[in-house]
Amino acid sequence: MSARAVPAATARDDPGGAAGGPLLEVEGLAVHFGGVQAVSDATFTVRSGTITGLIGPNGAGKSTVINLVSGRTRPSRGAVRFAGVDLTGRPTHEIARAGLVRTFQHANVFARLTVLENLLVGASPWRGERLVQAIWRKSSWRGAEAELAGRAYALLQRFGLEGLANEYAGALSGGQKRLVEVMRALMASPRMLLLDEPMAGVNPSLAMSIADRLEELRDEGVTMLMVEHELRLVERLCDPVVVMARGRVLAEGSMEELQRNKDVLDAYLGGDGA
Amino acid sequence: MSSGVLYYLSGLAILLGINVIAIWGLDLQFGLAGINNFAFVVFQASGAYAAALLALKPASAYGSFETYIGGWNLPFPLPLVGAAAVGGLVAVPIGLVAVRRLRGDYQAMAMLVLSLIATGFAEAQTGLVNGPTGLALIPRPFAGAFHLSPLGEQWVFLGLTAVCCAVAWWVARGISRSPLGRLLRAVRDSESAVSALGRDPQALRMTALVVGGALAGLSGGLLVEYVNAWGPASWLYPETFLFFTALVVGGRGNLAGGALGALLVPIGIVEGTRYLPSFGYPGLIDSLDWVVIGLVMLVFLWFRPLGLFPERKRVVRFGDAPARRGAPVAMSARRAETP
Repeated sequence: MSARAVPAATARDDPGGAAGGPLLEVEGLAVHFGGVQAVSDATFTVRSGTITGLIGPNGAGKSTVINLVSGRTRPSRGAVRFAGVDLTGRPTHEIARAGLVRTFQHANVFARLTVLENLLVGASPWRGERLVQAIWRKSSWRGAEAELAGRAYALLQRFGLEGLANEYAGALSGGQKRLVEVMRALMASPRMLLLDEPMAGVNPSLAMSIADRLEELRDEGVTMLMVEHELRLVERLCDPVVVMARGRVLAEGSMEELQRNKDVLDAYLGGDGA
Repeated sequence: MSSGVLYYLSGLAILLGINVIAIWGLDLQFGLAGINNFAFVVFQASGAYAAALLALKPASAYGSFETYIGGWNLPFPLPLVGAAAVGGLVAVPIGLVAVRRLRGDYQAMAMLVLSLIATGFAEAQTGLVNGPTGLALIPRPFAGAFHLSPLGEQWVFLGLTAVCCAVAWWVARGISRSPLGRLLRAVRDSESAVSALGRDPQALRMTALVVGGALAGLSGGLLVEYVNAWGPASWLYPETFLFFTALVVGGRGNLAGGALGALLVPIGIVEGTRYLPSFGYPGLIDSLDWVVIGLVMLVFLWFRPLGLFPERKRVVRFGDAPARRGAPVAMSARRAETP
């Protein structure tokens, strides 16, 4: 484990200022893969307490931005600040420890762990994950383990998946896997979630139920940055919305404002106001 | 039973114990953490050399017919402790080369190449561990101390092996049932998701490699003290596949599977065929061993890839009464039957 700990920011202690202040600041982010400039200039801010949407046509660089912010890809230029702390180029696990937890575009569950175990891997506080605790000092984590399992079970009930607690996560449907990913991220008590197409490939009724849960979480103080293709969902959930095209941020505002923005209509919405 | 038969059976039991320790070490690395450690035998060999050099007297004491470094003549249990320590330490450079950056097939290839390089190195360096001839006359712990018959000494060594097995069981079981074990299984399934949840997958893999390496080193130390000799021919790369086959046959991710695999493959196939009536040219049975082991591996990967004892699901029971939301009722670490 790295000794260079990044100060953790959770919904409870709040170094980023009052609700509504900037929580995540992305400034001039750029990266290229070989000759392809995937992201050339991404600058935007996510205010605390919002679900900020990130939309744009295919190849606009949305997922790359999520990868850059979450530390999966190192930016060649630009800066990422979270709750006032510079996280640019830090490895993913350090960024997650700072309270910025991501989910993936392609369902990324631990297939050969049960659903409950998936949630427990996400859980903090961490007990019994060090060698000495695991072998010699079982009493140091047994109590916490039971408490975390209770918390995980409550979360499963809230998402209506308690019946699947002891199923292998690999056996679930695509939509259920996405729910497991979101719940697993929530077990880490994040300050902010980076959701990369959380509703992709999910049937409409389950998508609505995921949307309800995300709204509840927002009301509880979890900030989110969400990449999504389904514009009706974006309209319902996200305010503000950041529009990207060809690796740069084109506009930022409410869906209503964006539908009147000529650049956005030309680049993305196709001019029919869909 | 005649003492000859008892001597043979106790010898088999000792070899079984030594193999069980090694396979539990491999299970931590491969079964739990998903590291394709095709250099596994190097960990065992490092432990064996360490124990040998710690237990042997200086080369001059034997008339310098072999040349090696060290020869510290340390008493029990220091050679075995040293073997485990060196097995764990060897994991660090190997991990830095093959675990930090490489995955999957590439990792397996790099490991295999490391194993070949290590054998070549030990053969070429005649002053280090006596080159291709290897080390001999390695003393057994307590040899002659109790004035026992050869069979009596065999029982003492079997007891020592059993104690080492118990230690290995305690370590491996502690890890696999702890949150650390759960994290290692998570790393095996998805490294990117583990890091997205704030854990460092490299550090976790390294932990598994070091602890598994220490168990491999301990098994090597015991083996060298039992057979009293060790050379490059004792740890050629196919030995690694013997351990992998045992794990595939017995079942990964659980200690019973590893122990069963140790009984069936290194003991059942390799030792069991040693006293078959000889047929064909000399060495034919030994060669056929490898053919059989390869076939067994393929048959299991094809028809029963999870082994005879598959990894069991960790089931946590909660009350299903909706009135008691979130309250775990009779929560236990009990594991349910295999699905």
